[in-house]
Amino acid sequence: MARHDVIIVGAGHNGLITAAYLARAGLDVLVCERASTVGGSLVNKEICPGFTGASGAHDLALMAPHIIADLNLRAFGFDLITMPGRATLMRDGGYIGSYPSRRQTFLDIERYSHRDAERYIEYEHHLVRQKDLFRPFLTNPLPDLAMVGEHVDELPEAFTKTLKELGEGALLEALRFWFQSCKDFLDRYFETDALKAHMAGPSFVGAANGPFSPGTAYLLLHSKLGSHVHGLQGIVRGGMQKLGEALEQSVRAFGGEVVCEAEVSGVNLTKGTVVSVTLADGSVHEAKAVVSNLDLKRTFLTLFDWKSLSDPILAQVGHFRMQGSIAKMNIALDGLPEFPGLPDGCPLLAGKLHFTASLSEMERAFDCWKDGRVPECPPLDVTVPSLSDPSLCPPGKHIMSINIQYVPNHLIAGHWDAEKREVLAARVLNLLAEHSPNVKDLTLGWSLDVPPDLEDKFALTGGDIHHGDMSLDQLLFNRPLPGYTNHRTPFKNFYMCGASTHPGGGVMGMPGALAARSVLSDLGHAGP
Amino acid sequence: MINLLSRKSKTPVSVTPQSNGVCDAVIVGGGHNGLVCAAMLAKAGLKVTVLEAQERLGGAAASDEIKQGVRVSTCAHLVYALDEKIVKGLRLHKHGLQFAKARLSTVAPDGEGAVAHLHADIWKTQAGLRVLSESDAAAFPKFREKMQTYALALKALLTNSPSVAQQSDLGALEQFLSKIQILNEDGRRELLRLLVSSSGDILDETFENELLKGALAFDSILGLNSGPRSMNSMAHYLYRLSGEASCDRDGMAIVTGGMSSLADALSDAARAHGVKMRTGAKVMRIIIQKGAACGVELEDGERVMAPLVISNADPKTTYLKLVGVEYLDTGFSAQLRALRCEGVTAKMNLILNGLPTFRGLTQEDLSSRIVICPSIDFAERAFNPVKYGSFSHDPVFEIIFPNLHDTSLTSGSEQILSANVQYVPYKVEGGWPARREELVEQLVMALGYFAPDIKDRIVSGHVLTPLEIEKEYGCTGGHWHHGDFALDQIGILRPAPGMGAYGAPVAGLHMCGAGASGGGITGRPGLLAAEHALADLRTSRKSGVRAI
Repeated sequence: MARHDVIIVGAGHNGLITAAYLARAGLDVLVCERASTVGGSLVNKEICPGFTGASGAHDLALMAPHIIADLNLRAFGFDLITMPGRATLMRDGGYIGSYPSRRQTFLDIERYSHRDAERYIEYEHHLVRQKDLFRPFLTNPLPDLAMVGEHVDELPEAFTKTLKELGEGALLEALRFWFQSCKDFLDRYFETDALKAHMAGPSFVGAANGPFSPGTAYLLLHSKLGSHVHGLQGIVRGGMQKLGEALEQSVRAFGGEVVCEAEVSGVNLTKGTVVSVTLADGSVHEAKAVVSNLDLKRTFLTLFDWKSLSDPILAQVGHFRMQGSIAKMNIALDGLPEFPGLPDGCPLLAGKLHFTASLSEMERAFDCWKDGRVPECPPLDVTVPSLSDPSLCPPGKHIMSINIQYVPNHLIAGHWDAEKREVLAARVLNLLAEHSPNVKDLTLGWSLDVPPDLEDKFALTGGDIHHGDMSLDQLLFNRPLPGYTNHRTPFKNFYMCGASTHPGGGVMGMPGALAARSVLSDLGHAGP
Repeated sequence: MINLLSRKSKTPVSVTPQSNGVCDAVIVGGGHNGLVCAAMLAKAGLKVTVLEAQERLGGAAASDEIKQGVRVSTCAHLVYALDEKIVKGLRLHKHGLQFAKARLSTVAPDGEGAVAHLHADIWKTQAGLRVLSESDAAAFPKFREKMQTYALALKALLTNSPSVAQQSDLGALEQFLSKIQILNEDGRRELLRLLVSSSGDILDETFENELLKGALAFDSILGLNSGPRSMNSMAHYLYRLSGEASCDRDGMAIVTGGMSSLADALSDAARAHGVKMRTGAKVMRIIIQKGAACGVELEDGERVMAPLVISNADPKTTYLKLVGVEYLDTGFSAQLRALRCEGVTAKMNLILNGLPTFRGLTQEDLSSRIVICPSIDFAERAFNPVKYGSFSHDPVFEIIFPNLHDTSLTSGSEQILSANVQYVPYKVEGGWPARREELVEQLVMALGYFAPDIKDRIVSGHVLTPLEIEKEYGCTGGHWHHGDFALDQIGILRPAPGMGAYGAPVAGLHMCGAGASGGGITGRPGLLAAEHALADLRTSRKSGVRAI
């Protein structure tokens, strides 16, 4: 029987980050991965011969820079190419862009509304205020709000300090922000419909809410939590898989062990304490701590004999909402698609492209999702990564990567058969063709993964890329379960490090880094 | 002479009653909350004048003869847990208030023969639910009991005290959270989760029967500009329940003689305590001197001075119109403008030549409250169109037949169907005058699915869209609650962050309407306003004010 300090179940990016931090602190770490490659959904896939697409996430907006530095990822071949910005193209030919420079963004908005351009600066300031208030909860243990009434002094010092600096009313402003809908928040600042859609667009990828739903203003903040310039995205040279590989090498370099095709079939309990894991091959491995990178439902319903869970825990796990809302499409292109809406040589083409005209259009797509229907006009989140990274496809060719938003996991009528997939792909190509007249002619082939495919391939329950709805009843001190914050669980020595835990989804790595901190603290080591 | 402490300047402002009025408090608007507040203040020894723009008192608690010999409640039609402190404290029953029916049951037909029965008695409900689902019947009493516990805790949370409004941010948070200490640790966590959950999710967690879930979800959305899949719905459900939970005795009740009888009883009680009430007296502005409210000016220029001004008007009307933005800092006025107060509930009264037949309901069932909301998804789909300025073809209804309990309402054999209908938007694409007819037809057709003979029985009818409710009852946006009951607009955020419900930004000015704490015919906002005004007075004037 092998014995380790810590065993990590699953080598998704968060699992690897937890492992790397723990190994860096000198612990003996073993990562067990079911699949034959590491990185979870961060794997490349061949769309057509010679075309490398992304299976899951296609950009890196949120990854905390300190993680990249702490784990020496650049030394292991990780290279982030910052995108030049993003653009929302309109059906009548215009576009609104966001750039690393606020000045440039201001000028773009001013073409539509001077008032909106001026409010844009205030809008950014407001989000920065919310970010400053929220950041202490990314670097400190999360307080249990149910206990704060007695111990308000247990709130992180950085939080109360920022609150004082911001002045009277800042907390009420924050409270309102967290309760507000994205629409109400944007309505306070802007008058131009297309601009509001432009601001909201990238924040709703993977969301199980529409922009009119209360509590969604927060999503505007979540997409800015990484410290990259104004929340702009980057792509990974060589494809997202390179991030997984760099993380794996980092774990190894710190002395940790990563084993693929080693499925953990169960964790073993002694008197409420997790003591070991059993692999599918029957081998048992003891550990002082076990950390699960699986989503909440898979963690409790597959690693444990669910009959051994107490009724309240079982109920809470069962009620945790995991509902996929995106489909992932890759298109291999015979050349560069034209977007006449963008001026010649516009750098934004190499950034992200959106086409949603208004928040209402987004909301209508959400209404379809609620009903289990595929929206007529789904919001698209598009990149052409080969513009920045030619290594992804043969010379002169291109690859387009698309998140299709509000695609339901369960259809109200029928199943996701080949015919329904064809319909969805055709719909997306038609939407693209409204803005790019030659995209259909250039199409050499495409691949499409709907939520059930994402579930099958990457063990994402419900196809939910965030490992659980990012709604307020499942965020902060409610994530993953009320009373079990800071990556601890009802079982001693058992932790979670995936996106089901605070601060949630997106390729940000913070759940992994924070989980490592709790494990180290409980094992009596200094934090990362 | 009364000194009121101005919160803004932190310096005492002295206000002297003017020669024309030996008046301690003037109340702008004689809606039911204004009357409650007036009567309570008068009872405590203050000289109070109520100024009402309309020719009658009571605001949305109104009845009218819409056809000769047929009297209907034109807006609100049920008293939803009128606060016991008011009923007893003002001896309303002595002043003529009678309930034709209290502790009203609810029946929810699905249109295909199945019915969910919800009685005031939990055990009777449980017995009835067995037909729909054994497991739901088993789960119901515990659910109800649990929700009532949380509803009471929420009630404490939402009852703003002036001290909260004057606290620093963290102090307010601490005080806010300390109020839920009545619950145990798990209970607090659960309440904090429930507050930001959708009723749809919570009901899905607890029950399996769609009809039961729909019937329960209905109470989470009535009067709310959100569907049951929205985060706001569970807090709203608990809020509604907090009335019922604290006043289990009467629960939902039908007032004998229509809702105007409540207004009559309240004004009678107020008069008995010496309140001066003037109708047809439209207040055009609230007079501000040295940063404090000191009286009001009427349409004809007449001034009524008082050191205490209490407004029953909605927050937008009160501050943006009557006070004026020049007296507010820009932050407040911007936030008040952003207050969402567009109603989504229309009122419909139909006069029928006989009782209709609802599929699945017995004749006896018609004397209950009938809720048409066969599932959570049905309600959510009914909500979708209002987001885009349209109305639902399959709306949800709350229906009562008041004349079955009160024969005085009709002289002949007519029957009255009184309904709240949503979702009907305040602003509709194409404009209301143009689409009103279409709405009425649609409502009748939608009802026809549940009661096939209804169309043939209609003698006449009366429909008020939110736009018409605004015109008729003077509430901005035609919203019953004077501001949507959404998490970003309740508690310490109501009516706007930093304005703390009763700690208004203008010294000497209080609010007593639904915009201050919450809507529904509970009378609670009026009662709380009176309590807060008296507390303020007590701190500034040592004696002479009795407690309520």
